[in-house]
Amino acid sequence: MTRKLAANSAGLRNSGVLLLFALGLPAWAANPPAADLKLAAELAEHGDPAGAAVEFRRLALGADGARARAAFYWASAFAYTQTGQAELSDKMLDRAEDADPALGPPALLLRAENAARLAKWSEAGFYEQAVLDGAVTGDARRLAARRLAAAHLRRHDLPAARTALEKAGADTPASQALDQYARGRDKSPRLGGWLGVVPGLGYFYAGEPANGLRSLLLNGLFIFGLVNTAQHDEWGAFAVIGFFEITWYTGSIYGGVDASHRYNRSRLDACLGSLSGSFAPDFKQLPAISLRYQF
Amino acid sequence: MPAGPTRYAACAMRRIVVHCLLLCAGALSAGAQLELAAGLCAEGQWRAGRREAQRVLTADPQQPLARLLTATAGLRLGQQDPALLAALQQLADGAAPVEISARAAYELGRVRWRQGDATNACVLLQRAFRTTQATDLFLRSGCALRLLADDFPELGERDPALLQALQTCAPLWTPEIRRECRPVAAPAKTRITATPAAWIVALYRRQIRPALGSRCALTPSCSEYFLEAGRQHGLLAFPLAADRLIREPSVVQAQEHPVQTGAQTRYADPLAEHDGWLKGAKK
Repeated sequence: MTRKLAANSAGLRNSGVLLLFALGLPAWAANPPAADLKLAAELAEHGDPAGAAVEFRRLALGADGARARAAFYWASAFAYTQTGQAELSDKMLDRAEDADPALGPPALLLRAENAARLAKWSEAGFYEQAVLDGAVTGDARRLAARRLAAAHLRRHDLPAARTALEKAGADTPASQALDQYARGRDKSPRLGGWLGVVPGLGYFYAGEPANGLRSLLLNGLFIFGLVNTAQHDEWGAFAVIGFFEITWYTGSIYGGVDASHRYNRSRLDACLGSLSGSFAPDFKQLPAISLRYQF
Repeated sequence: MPAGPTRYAACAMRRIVVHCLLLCAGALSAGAQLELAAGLCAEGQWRAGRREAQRVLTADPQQPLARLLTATAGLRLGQQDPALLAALQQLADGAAPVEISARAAYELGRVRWRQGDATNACVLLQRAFRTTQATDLFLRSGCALRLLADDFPELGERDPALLQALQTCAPLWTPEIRRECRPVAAPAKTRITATPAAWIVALYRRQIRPALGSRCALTPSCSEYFLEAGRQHGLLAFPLAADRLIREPSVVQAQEHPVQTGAQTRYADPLAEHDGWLKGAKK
């Protein structure tokens, strides 16, 4: 999902920096083993998040200060999220929050992302709401609001999505995308399936005329073959053609349903693309967690 | 990553690591290193766990937990290196704290069982069963012994008292434990309705594809898609495959999600994108 969001983003507009742990770190935390940290950061930035996650865990285990430990566990969790291991990432976040219960928005944003990766939209929404209920401002708030709106939209709750967006103030592109989504209409998969009884019509209904035409031609050809073989009492050929025709015919019905679902999904994806946003830490700043936001 | 073995390994490794950390008091970095190695193995990240354990072994080649983790990870990664088995044997024979020995005996017992050496497997699993203080290892070694005795009834006849003890523990073995303790996984059952799909694909692959060549522009290929649909949805594979064939030119034209396979560019069109609603409806 993150890749899709990033692909749809208009580019790096802002690089708001959230420094949460700049003060009060113990002496070790201020000077973690430089080579280890550099290695972990480079692995994370050069396409080996799995390796980076282990290095960050090593740094966390060696850290003296609770805040530094929390920051390294958080970085490890971020790296695990990048590898798609959302459950492991949550486990690292548990450790980070055990070390520093006041970790706050970075942990919540990451938990929300993990929940979204596991398609747990309610849970993702809960964490984004928690970010919005806190004292965050600027891009962090905007990102949380967009993602909360996206979570509501996934559950087809358009009014809640609008309310969520309003919490971050004016966000014209996102609001326009929601308006456009609200103006459109979903296709009914049930109707698509029924229309598919007439070969190809289900595809036409879902806006896929080329597929509809192919289905119509194939079914027409095979039905012609059936009729022709029956007229000439060629029952062996009739059985073979009949087998294929049943496949094409049921395929037309299935296609009508699936094409409607596909239409609805692409409409939703287009709207979600406009609600996109992502965040990434500046690993070199660790053990201070510094996030960059991208919309 | 299977949840059962992971949870089990997490408990066992945590317990073992506490023992070892106590042994390693005064050597914080090695302790932390071991904790990391044990944690990674417990999460099923065997390759990374083994690397970390080996890092400890470079400083202390006799470190028992690191040796156990290295050997266990090697086995889980499919290695049957005699050196690994020798290390496990040495640990199981008592060259380590009791829990580590018990764990090594359990792992080695499973290897021997897989190799068909039921007598040695029985001895090792019994040792793990009788010496461990850890509930999870106690349950698993007991369950493994029971399954072994089912496969080789003569072993059970030798020690009726042990069989009685295992019978007492049996209610505590969850289906997850039973599944995990059998070293060779039972083959997955195939739907009877998936068989026609498999026949058709086999016929196509043997008789037709060699003449046509591999022409499908999508990945997975249409025959693979059909087989997978058959495995998951039985006879519904036929309409699914027909829908796929009708859509294929449109998917290629759209050129979304290209995947480079060798010299050819194919377009990703996985089954999951077309049966998600079907699975939702079944639930």
